[in-house]
Amino acid sequence: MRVVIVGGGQAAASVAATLRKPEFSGEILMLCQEDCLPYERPPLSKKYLLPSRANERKTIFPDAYWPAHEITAKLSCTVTGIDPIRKIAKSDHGSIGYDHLVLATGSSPRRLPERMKGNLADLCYLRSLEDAGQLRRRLACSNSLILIGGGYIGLELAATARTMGLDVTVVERDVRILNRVASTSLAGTVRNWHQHHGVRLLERTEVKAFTDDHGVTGVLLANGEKLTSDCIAVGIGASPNTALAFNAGLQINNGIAVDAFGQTSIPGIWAAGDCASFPYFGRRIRLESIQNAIDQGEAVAENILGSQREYVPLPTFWSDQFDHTIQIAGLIEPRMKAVIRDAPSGRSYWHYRDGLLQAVEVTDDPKSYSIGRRMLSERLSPSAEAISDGNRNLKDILKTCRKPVMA
Amino acid sequence: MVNWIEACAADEVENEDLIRFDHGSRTFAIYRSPDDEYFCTDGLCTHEEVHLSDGLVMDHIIECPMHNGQFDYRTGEARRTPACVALKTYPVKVENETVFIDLGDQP
Repeated sequence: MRVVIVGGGQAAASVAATLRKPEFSGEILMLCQEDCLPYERPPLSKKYLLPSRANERKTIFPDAYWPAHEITAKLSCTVTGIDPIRKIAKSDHGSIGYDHLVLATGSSPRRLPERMKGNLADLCYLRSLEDAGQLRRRLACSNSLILIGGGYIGLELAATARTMGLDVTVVERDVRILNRVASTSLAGTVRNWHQHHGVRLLERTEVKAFTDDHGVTGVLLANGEKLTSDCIAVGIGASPNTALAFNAGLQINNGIAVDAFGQTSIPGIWAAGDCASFPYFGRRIRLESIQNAIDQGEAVAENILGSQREYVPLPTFWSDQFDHTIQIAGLIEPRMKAVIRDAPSGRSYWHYRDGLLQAVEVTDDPKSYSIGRRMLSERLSPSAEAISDGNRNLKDILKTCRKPVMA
Repeated sequence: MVNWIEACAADEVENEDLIRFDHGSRTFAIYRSPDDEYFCTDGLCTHEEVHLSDGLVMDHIIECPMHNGQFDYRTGEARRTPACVALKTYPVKVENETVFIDLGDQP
């Protein structure tokens, strides 16, 4: 049997490594569009950009791992088409037959319309190691940075650039930063961090156009204000890479649509990671996180080998900004009620809906996060009263929740 | 060479929990299992240098608080990605309600 994986990111690596674990003796082929073995993307918006750091990618596995596990990685290999009838992936390295095909094509930064760019030479986007290398070189010779977009990537970049001493302005079109991905309470804490460090945050602010006056790049805002800076970067979300799947006739629905097992609308073709949308409690979601890439990749690999494992994850997420860490378990959604719990090092926000714990957001308090995440993954719901009582030990609350209620 | 170092009082570690123990320039994690056995591993996750003492112990598994990598703290074995390199483990003994770890030949 031959499994061909299209992609060379975290999800692809997870599929390949999980397939090999139970002594699967078939062939595993990973077709990587980039020219390097799978690496971790999260550092690219943080440590990787700092001039003090060695200009080194952080690989997911040591280079020797791949040959030792007989996983063939074809680098700089672009897959151009799929023939699902003949079970062939066509690439610029030739046609490759498969028994199972896994699409781990990832996502691409959403781009601003070309017409907004005006005569501006370039806007920086961040996704790949190559993007990060360019940004790193740009930041090293810049005194100021404007970020379009106050999501996680934008804020992480803002924090990194500010740490390097640049003047930083973040422009967010929405009513507030992190509007779709964090609660109002957490966003307030993050706003404080940035303001405390001297980042200028402009929320509810729209960009009208970009300008370039003799090498001085700038941003014209809808309110008439004009900002100038040495470098402009854009982080306004990402879109799933679905073209290959669409052209092969696979069902697309906010990503490559897969069933609970990770299989697409054509049997034998699977998808995992940023590019895949999957059923989740009566709806369909798509997650862009390292945790999802790992876990969904594992589930798909197991299902290729014949498990019937439904993928029903507890979404988790983290972000490092300045010397703070945000950790989130569960999905933040409207109409949740927050209970706040303070710890010596940080704070946790416990979000309830209809009296049930739905999500936990934590800043600088990893122990509370570990326990909150565990409660959510076991579908336990501690009472809001217990959580809000700072004198009660969280692990004791966890143990109490786990005990079966005596009749 | 055996090199027993006094790490902590036995009751400093709660049942099914761990504490951090720093010695010289190094950091360790001391565990107490649900059946009150004690174990010791290096204190930092092998994935990224995060203190495991902030993580959660359940049964014989320590879960890193940052990226949820898991290890069996009895053997050090990496049990869940992104952790893929085993944790180093050290012999432990409890005498007079005190936990000792054996650092062997290492300084």
